[in-house]
Amino acid sequence: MTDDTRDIEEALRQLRPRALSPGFQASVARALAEPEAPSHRSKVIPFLAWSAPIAAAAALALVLLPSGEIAADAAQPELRLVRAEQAPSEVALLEPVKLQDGSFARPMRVRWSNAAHYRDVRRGAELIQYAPHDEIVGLVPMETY
Amino acid sequence: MPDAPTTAPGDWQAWLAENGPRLRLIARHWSRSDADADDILQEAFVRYWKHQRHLPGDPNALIVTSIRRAAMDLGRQTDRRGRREQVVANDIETVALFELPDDGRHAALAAAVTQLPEEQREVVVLHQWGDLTFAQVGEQLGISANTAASRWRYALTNLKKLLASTLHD
Repeated sequence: MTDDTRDIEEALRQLRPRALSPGFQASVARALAEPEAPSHRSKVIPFLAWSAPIAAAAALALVLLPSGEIAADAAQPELRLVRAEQAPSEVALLEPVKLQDGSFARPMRVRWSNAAHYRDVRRGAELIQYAPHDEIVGLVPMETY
Repeated sequence: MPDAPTTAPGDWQAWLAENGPRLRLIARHWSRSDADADDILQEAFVRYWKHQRHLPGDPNALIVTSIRRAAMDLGRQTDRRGRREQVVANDIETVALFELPDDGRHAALAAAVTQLPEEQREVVVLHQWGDLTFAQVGEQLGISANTAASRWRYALTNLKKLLASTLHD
Protein backbone atom coordinates (compact mmCIF):
# COMPACT_ATOMS: atom_id res chain seq x y z
CA MET A 1 0.00 0.00 0.00
CA THR A 2 1.24 3.48 -0.75
CA ASP A 3 2.37 5.95 1.87
CA ASP A 4 -0.53 8.14 0.73
CA THR A 5 -3.07 5.73 2.09
CA ARG A 6 -1.17 4.10 4.93
CA ASP A 7 -2.67 6.53 7.42
CA ILE A 8 -6.17 5.64 6.20
CA GLU A 9 -5.44 1.95 6.67
CA GLU A 10 -4.23 2.63 10.18
CA ALA A 11 -7.31 4.71 10.96
CA LEU A 12 -9.58 1.96 9.60
CA ARG A 13 -7.97 -0.53 11.98
CA GLN A 14 -8.95 1.70 14.87
CA LEU A 15 -12.64 1.78 13.98
CA ARG A 16 -14.52 -0.65 16.18
CA PRO A 17 -17.67 -2.28 14.76
CA ARG A 18 -20.74 -1.63 16.82
CA ALA A 19 -21.29 -4.03 19.70
CA LEU A 20 -23.89 -6.79 19.51
CA SER A 21 -27.28 -6.01 20.96
CA PRO A 22 -27.72 -7.05 24.61
CA GLY A 23 -30.13 -9.89 23.91
CA PHE A 24 -28.20 -11.37 21.02
CA GLN A 25 -26.19 -13.92 22.97
CA ALA A 26 -29.29 -15.11 24.80
CA SER A 27 -31.01 -15.57 21.46
CA VAL A 28 -28.04 -17.54 20.13
CA ALA A 29 -28.01 -19.66 23.29
CA ARG A 30 -31.65 -20.59 22.68
CA ALA A 31 -30.92 -21.44 19.06
CA LEU A 32 -27.94 -23.59 20.01
CA ALA A 33 -30.03 -25.43 22.58
CA GLU A 34 -32.72 -26.34 20.06
CA PRO A 35 -32.67 -29.97 18.97
CA GLU A 36 -31.03 -30.80 15.69
CA ALA A 37 -33.22 -30.86 12.63
CA PRO A 38 -32.79 -34.10 10.71
CA SER A 39 -29.95 -33.84 8.24
CA HIS A 40 -30.71 -34.44 4.57
CA ARG A 41 -27.43 -36.01 3.68
CA SER A 42 -28.95 -38.46 1.28
CA LYS A 43 -29.99 -37.06 -2.06
CA VAL A 44 -32.03 -40.17 -2.83
CA ILE A 45 -35.30 -39.05 -1.30
CA PRO A 46 -34.70 -35.46 -0.26
CA PHE A 47 -37.94 -34.30 -1.82
CA LEU A 48 -40.01 -36.72 0.22
CA ALA A 49 -38.14 -35.80 3.34
CA TRP A 50 -38.88 -32.12 3.17
CA SER A 51 -42.30 -32.10 1.58
CA ALA A 52 -43.82 -35.04 3.43
CA PRO A 53 -44.80 -33.15 6.60
CA ILE A 54 -46.86 -30.55 4.76
CA ALA A 55 -48.41 -33.07 2.40
CA ALA A 56 -49.26 -35.32 5.34
CA ALA A 57 -50.80 -32.44 7.28
CA ALA A 58 -52.89 -31.41 4.29
CA ALA A 59 -54.02 -35.00 3.69
CA LEU A 60 -54.81 -35.50 7.37
CA ALA A 61 -56.92 -32.37 7.41
CA LEU A 62 -58.88 -33.57 4.40
CA VAL A 63 -59.45 -37.03 5.88
CA LEU A 64 -60.35 -36.01 9.43
CA LEU A 65 -62.72 -33.19 8.62
CA PRO A 66 -66.12 -34.27 7.33
CA SER A 67 -66.92 -32.64 4.03
CA GLY A 68 -69.86 -30.80 5.57
CA GLU A 69 -67.61 -29.17 8.12
CA ILE A 70 -65.17 -28.20 5.44
CA ALA A 71 -67.90 -26.50 3.53
CA ALA A 72 -69.15 -24.80 6.66
CA ASP A 73 -65.76 -23.50 7.71
CA ALA A 74 -64.59 -21.44 4.81
CA ALA A 75 -61.61 -20.17 6.81
CA GLN A 76 -59.88 -23.54 6.58
CA PRO A 77 -57.52 -23.66 3.62
CA GLU A 78 -57.66 -26.65 1.32
CA LEU A 79 -54.16 -27.01 0.04
CA ARG A 80 -53.36 -28.97 -3.09
CA LEU A 81 -49.83 -29.63 -4.22
CA VAL A 82 -49.53 -28.00 -7.63
CA ARG A 83 -45.93 -28.73 -8.43
CA ALA A 84 -42.57 -29.37 -6.82
CA GLU A 85 -39.25 -28.27 -8.16
CA GLN A 86 -35.70 -29.10 -7.31
CA ALA A 87 -33.17 -26.72 -8.81
CA PRO A 88 -30.05 -28.30 -10.33
CA SER A 89 -27.28 -28.75 -7.79
CA GLU A 90 -24.36 -26.40 -7.90
CA VAL A 91 -21.10 -28.07 -6.93
CA ALA A 92 -18.02 -26.03 -6.09
CA LEU A 93 -14.55 -26.87 -4.86
CA LEU A 94 -13.45 -24.38 -2.24
CA GLU A 95 -9.97 -23.21 -1.41
CA PRO A 96 -7.52 -25.89 -0.22
CA VAL A 97 -7.38 -26.48 3.50
CA LYS A 98 -4.71 -28.16 5.56
CA LEU A 99 -5.75 -31.32 7.38
CA GLN A 100 -4.51 -32.44 10.76
CA ASP A 101 -2.12 -34.95 9.20
CA GLY A 102 -0.45 -32.19 7.22
CA SER A 103 -1.98 -33.08 3.87
CA PHE A 104 -4.19 -30.76 1.84
CA ALA A 105 -7.70 -31.15 0.54
CA ARG A 106 -10.39 -29.05 -1.09
CA PRO A 107 -13.81 -28.95 0.57
CA MET A 108 -16.63 -29.75 -1.84
CA ARG A 109 -19.73 -27.62 -1.44
CA VAL A 110 -23.12 -28.51 -2.88
CA ARG A 111 -26.01 -26.06 -3.10
CA TRP A 112 -29.50 -26.77 -4.25
CA SER A 113 -33.00 -25.67 -3.46
CA ASN A 114 -36.43 -27.22 -3.35
CA ALA A 115 -39.72 -25.46 -3.85
CA ALA A 116 -43.20 -26.86 -3.45
CA HIS A 117 -46.17 -24.85 -4.75
CA TYR A 118 -49.50 -25.40 -3.05
CA ARG A 119 -52.83 -23.82 -3.97
CA ASP A 120 -55.72 -23.19 -1.64
CA VAL A 121 -58.51 -24.38 -3.89
CA ARG A 122 -61.08 -22.35 -1.99
CA ARG A 123 -59.50 -18.97 -2.16
CA GLY A 124 -57.09 -19.39 -5.04
CA ALA A 125 -54.21 -18.33 -2.76
CA GLU A 126 -50.82 -19.92 -3.35
CA LEU A 127 -48.30 -21.12 -0.83
CA ILE A 128 -44.71 -21.66 -1.83
CA GLN A 129 -42.47 -23.60 0.50
CA TYR A 130 -38.91 -22.75 -0.38
CA ALA A 131 -36.04 -24.76 1.12
CA PRO A 132 -32.50 -23.75 0.17
CA HIS A 133 -29.69 -26.14 1.07
CA ASP A 134 -25.99 -25.54 1.32
CA GLU A 135 -23.71 -28.30 2.53
CA ILE A 136 -20.06 -29.21 2.64
CA VAL A 137 -20.32 -32.81 1.53
CA GLY A 138 -16.73 -33.94 1.53
CA LEU A 139 -13.06 -33.27 1.03
CA VAL A 140 -11.13 -33.93 -2.16
CA PRO A 141 -7.55 -34.89 -1.26
CA MET A 142 -4.74 -33.05 -3.00
CA GLU A 143 -1.24 -34.22 -3.74
CA THR A 144 1.62 -31.86 -3.06
CA TYR A 145 5.03 -32.00 -4.70
CA MET B 1 -9.12 -14.00 14.43
CA PRO B 2 -8.62 -16.72 17.02
CA ASP B 3 -9.40 -20.30 16.10
CA ALA B 4 -12.78 -21.52 17.15
CA PRO B 5 -12.55 -23.27 20.49
CA THR B 6 -13.55 -26.89 20.46
CA THR B 7 -13.80 -27.84 24.11
CA ALA B 8 -16.17 -26.41 26.69
CA PRO B 9 -19.70 -25.80 25.44
CA GLY B 10 -19.74 -22.32 26.93
CA ASP B 11 -16.70 -21.20 24.97
CA TRP B 12 -18.87 -20.00 22.14
CA GLN B 13 -19.87 -17.02 24.24
CA ALA B 14 -16.33 -15.75 24.57
CA TRP B 15 -15.69 -16.43 20.91
CA LEU B 16 -18.83 -14.61 19.88
CA ALA B 17 -18.14 -11.70 22.21
CA GLU B 18 -14.76 -11.24 20.60
CA ASN B 19 -15.71 -11.81 16.97
CA GLY B 20 -19.42 -11.07 16.89
CA PRO B 21 -19.24 -7.30 16.31
CA ARG B 22 -17.05 -7.54 13.23
CA LEU B 23 -19.04 -10.48 11.85
CA ARG B 24 -22.23 -8.56 12.41
CA LEU B 25 -20.77 -5.68 10.44
CA ILE B 26 -20.31 -8.07 7.53
CA ALA B 27 -23.86 -9.36 7.95
CA ARG B 28 -25.13 -5.79 8.07
CA HIS B 29 -23.39 -5.01 4.83
CA TRP B 30 -25.27 -7.82 3.10
CA SER B 31 -28.66 -7.13 4.66
CA ARG B 32 -31.35 -4.49 4.59
CA SER B 33 -31.80 -3.76 8.26
CA ASP B 34 -30.20 -4.21 11.66
CA ALA B 35 -32.77 -6.84 12.56
CA ASP B 36 -31.97 -8.82 9.41
CA ALA B 37 -28.27 -8.58 10.21
CA ASP B 38 -28.88 -10.07 13.65
CA ASP B 39 -30.94 -12.89 12.14
CA ILE B 40 -28.28 -13.60 9.54
CA LEU B 41 -25.45 -13.63 12.04
CA GLN B 42 -27.38 -15.89 14.39
CA GLU B 43 -28.26 -18.37 11.68
CA ALA B 44 -24.73 -18.39 10.28
CA PHE B 45 -23.11 -18.70 13.68
CA VAL B 46 -25.39 -21.50 14.83
CA ARG B 47 -24.82 -23.38 11.58
CA TYR B 48 -21.10 -22.87 11.90
CA TRP B 49 -20.94 -23.81 15.55
CA LYS B 50 -23.07 -26.91 15.20
CA HIS B 51 -21.84 -28.24 11.89
CA GLN B 52 -18.73 -26.59 10.57
CA ARG B 53 -16.34 -25.65 13.33
CA HIS B 54 -14.68 -29.05 13.29
CA LEU B 55 -13.93 -28.80 9.60
CA PRO B 56 -10.30 -28.22 8.77
CA GLY B 57 -9.26 -24.94 7.27
CA ASP B 58 -9.67 -21.30 8.06
CA PRO B 59 -12.68 -20.95 10.40
CA ASN B 60 -12.95 -17.28 9.57
CA ALA B 61 -13.48 -17.93 5.87
CA LEU B 62 -16.01 -20.63 6.72
CA ILE B 63 -18.14 -18.42 8.90
CA VAL B 64 -17.98 -15.51 6.46
CA THR B 65 -19.18 -17.90 3.77
CA SER B 66 -21.94 -19.01 6.12
CA ILE B 67 -22.96 -15.38 6.66
CA ARG B 68 -23.08 -14.76 2.93
CA ARG B 69 -25.26 -17.84 2.35
CA ALA B 70 -27.64 -16.85 5.14
CA ALA B 71 -27.84 -13.32 3.73
CA MET B 72 -28.58 -14.65 0.25
CA ASP B 73 -31.28 -16.99 1.59
CA LEU B 74 -32.92 -14.20 3.56
CA GLY B 75 -32.63 -11.88 0.58
CA ARG B 76 -34.43 -14.37 -1.64
CA GLN B 77 -37.23 -14.80 0.89
CA THR B 78 -37.52 -11.04 1.39
CA ASP B 79 -37.59 -10.44 -2.34
CA ARG B 80 -40.57 -12.75 -2.62
CA ARG B 81 -42.46 -10.97 0.12
CA GLY B 82 -41.21 -7.59 -0.95
CA ARG B 83 -43.07 -7.56 -4.22
CA ARG B 84 -46.25 -7.11 -2.23
CA GLU B 85 -45.03 -5.51 0.92
CA GLN B 86 -42.68 -2.87 -0.41
CA VAL B 87 -39.50 -3.73 1.40
CA VAL B 88 -37.94 -1.04 3.52
CA ALA B 89 -35.13 0.52 1.56
CA ASN B 90 -31.57 -0.32 2.38
CA ASP B 91 -30.57 2.18 5.01
CA ILE B 92 -26.87 1.33 5.17
CA GLU B 93 -26.02 4.97 4.58
CA THR B 94 -27.85 6.12 7.64
CA VAL B 95 -27.06 3.51 10.25
CA ALA B 96 -24.21 3.55 12.72
CA LEU B 97 -21.90 0.71 11.79
CA PHE B 98 -19.25 1.54 14.34
CA GLU B 99 -18.91 2.45 17.96
CA LEU B 100 -18.87 6.19 18.29
CA PRO B 101 -15.23 7.17 17.71
CA ASP B 102 -13.48 9.39 20.21
CA ASP B 103 -12.32 12.01 17.76
CA GLY B 104 -13.68 13.86 14.77
CA ARG B 105 -11.31 12.32 12.26
CA HIS B 106 -12.36 8.77 13.03
CA ALA B 107 -16.01 9.80 13.16
CA ALA B 108 -15.60 11.29 9.69
CA LEU B 109 -13.89 8.12 8.50
CA ALA B 110 -16.72 5.96 9.85
CA ALA B 111 -19.18 8.10 7.91
CA ALA B 112 -16.97 8.00 4.82
CA VAL B 113 -17.01 4.20 4.78
CA THR B 114 -20.77 4.26 4.32
CA GLN B 115 -20.37 6.63 1.36
CA LEU B 116 -18.08 4.36 -0.60
CA PRO B 117 -19.45 2.75 -3.74
CA GLU B 118 -21.00 -0.62 -2.93
CA GLU B 119 -18.33 -2.70 -4.68
CA GLN B 120 -15.54 -0.94 -2.83
CA ARG B 121 -17.29 -0.94 0.53
CA GLU B 122 -17.81 -4.70 0.50
CA VAL B 123 -14.12 -5.28 -0.20
CA VAL B 124 -13.22 -2.96 2.68
CA VAL B 125 -15.64 -4.71 5.01
CA LEU B 126 -14.47 -8.21 4.08
CA HIS B 127 -10.76 -7.43 4.06
CA GLN B 128 -10.60 -5.12 7.05
CA TRP B 129 -13.19 -6.60 9.39
CA GLY B 130 -13.65 -10.00 7.85
CA ASP B 131 -9.91 -10.65 8.10
CA LEU B 132 -9.98 -12.20 4.64
CA THR B 133 -7.10 -12.16 2.20
CA PHE B 134 -7.72 -10.63 -1.20
CA ALA B 135 -7.89 -14.15 -2.64
CA GLN B 136 -10.58 -15.05 -0.10
CA VAL B 137 -12.43 -11.79 -0.73
CA GLY B 138 -12.32 -12.59 -4.43
CA GLU B 139 -13.77 -16.02 -3.81
CA GLN B 140 -16.62 -14.57 -1.76
CA LEU B 141 -17.48 -11.99 -4.39
CA GLY B 142 -16.75 -13.97 -7.53
CA ILE B 143 -13.92 -11.69 -8.61
CA SER B 144 -10.17 -12.18 -8.93
CA ALA B 145 -7.76 -11.44 -6.11
CA ASN B 146 -6.25 -8.68 -8.23
CA THR B 147 -9.63 -7.05 -8.70
CA ALA B 148 -10.28 -7.24 -4.98
CA ALA B 149 -6.91 -5.64 -4.26
CA SER B 150 -7.57 -2.97 -6.85
CA ARG B 151 -10.95 -2.14 -5.30
CA TRP B 152 -9.27 -1.93 -1.92
CA ARG B 153 -6.77 0.60 -3.25
CA TYR B 154 -9.51 2.65 -4.89
CA ALA B 155 -11.47 2.55 -1.65
CA LEU B 156 -8.53 3.85 0.37
CA THR B 157 -8.00 6.65 -2.11
CA ASN B 158 -11.68 7.52 -2.02
CA LEU B 159 -11.74 7.44 1.77
CA LYS B 160 -8.81 9.82 1.85
CA LYS B 161 -10.63 12.22 -0.49
CA LEU B 162 -13.89 11.95 1.44
CA LEU B 163 -12.08 12.51 4.69
CA ALA B 164 -10.22 15.55 3.38
CA SER B 165 -13.43 16.97 2.01
CA THR B 166 -15.33 16.42 5.26
CA LEU B 167 -12.63 17.80 7.50
CA HIS B 168 -12.10 20.75 5.19
CA ASP B 169 -15.79 21.66 5.43
